[in-house]
Amino acid sequence: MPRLEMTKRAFLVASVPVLIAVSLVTAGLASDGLRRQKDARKNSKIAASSRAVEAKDIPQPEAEKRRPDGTRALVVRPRTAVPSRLRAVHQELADLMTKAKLPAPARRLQQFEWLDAPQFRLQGWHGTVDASERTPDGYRVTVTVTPLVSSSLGASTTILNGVRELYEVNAEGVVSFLESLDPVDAVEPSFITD
Amino acid sequence: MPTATVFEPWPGTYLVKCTVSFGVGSGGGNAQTVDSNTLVITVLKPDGFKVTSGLKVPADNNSTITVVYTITCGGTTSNGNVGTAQELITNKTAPYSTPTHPPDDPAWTPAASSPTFYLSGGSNFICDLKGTYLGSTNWSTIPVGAVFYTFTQNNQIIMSDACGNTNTYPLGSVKLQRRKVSATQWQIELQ
Repeated sequence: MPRLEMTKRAFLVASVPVLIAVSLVTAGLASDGLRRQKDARKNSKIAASSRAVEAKDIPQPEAEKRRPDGTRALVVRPRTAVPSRLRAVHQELADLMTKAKLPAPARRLQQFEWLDAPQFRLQGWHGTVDASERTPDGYRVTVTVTPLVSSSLGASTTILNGVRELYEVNAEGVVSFLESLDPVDAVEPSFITD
Repeated sequence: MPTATVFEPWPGTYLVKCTVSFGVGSGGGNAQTVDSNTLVITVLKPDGFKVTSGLKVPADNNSTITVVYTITCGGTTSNGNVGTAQELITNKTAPYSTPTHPPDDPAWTPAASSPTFYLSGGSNFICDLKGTYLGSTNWSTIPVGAVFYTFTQNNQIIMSDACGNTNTYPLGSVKLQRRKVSATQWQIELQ
């Protein structure tokens, strides 16, 4: 009986992905205030001491408690279209706020209470620096925060709502939440499944 | 002439060898094996896609549109794909919402085949369920005729082989947008 057999030959060598991550951060500091902040961080303390003033006072709803801590981080970025004169400052402020591991203020959790539904799962928060204002002791920073979620309604889900929050970054790089800028009922459920 | 059909979905180059074995006949003698022919076969990897369905098909706010991407390799339809199809949405803009520049997807999704994004089993297309669920206030702020969402759709296929290696096959990207076409409906278009 004739027999047909197929032999795989190793013409293709499995490539071993090699990831070399080289991160070189050379962003120049755009102001003396921020330069002081950077020096202070080099000398120790800031990253460790960065904290949100209201952290211990903010009540955590039941649904939020269920979620792992690591998924609730606020990651802040400058706006895509930020003017070039502000780019370095906003990047520096965004980095400080991200490192501060800011908890979600109660108002924000209230605004996005509608996400506490079976079809959604909160993955974290994304903030965009909208504006910064120089103060005698650092900066006041307005950030628009939007949730990062996964959902059973779509592979990728984009929330088309954000809330504005005001933070202070002092000369030592300590980040403090000041207030929520939007009224409580400012957010209605709006999202897209991509 | 005996024939045999072999289905090989894994991209790669293979040597197909045809061996004919003669058994021992009633008169005795030794069995013989003869390599009668060989053939090098290349299974091309998927490397592209075309949007073949779902464009300019109006749907109500709070409902979905299924977009179909036909997978290609070297420009022609790629049949018999296996693995998991994934998407990554980038360059999002939403001019009538806050924020106007939603963040890029942080990772490729779904991790495993999902009813909302899946490779049609053993076939040549990806089904992508896209929905718009805007609150009445947000929806009403968008003028009829306006584009309210633009994005870049990046697709890929991942396959895990028998050795546990995961191979990724980028399919490229397409720029799409969503337009409000009436007081109640929207549609997806190419940018």
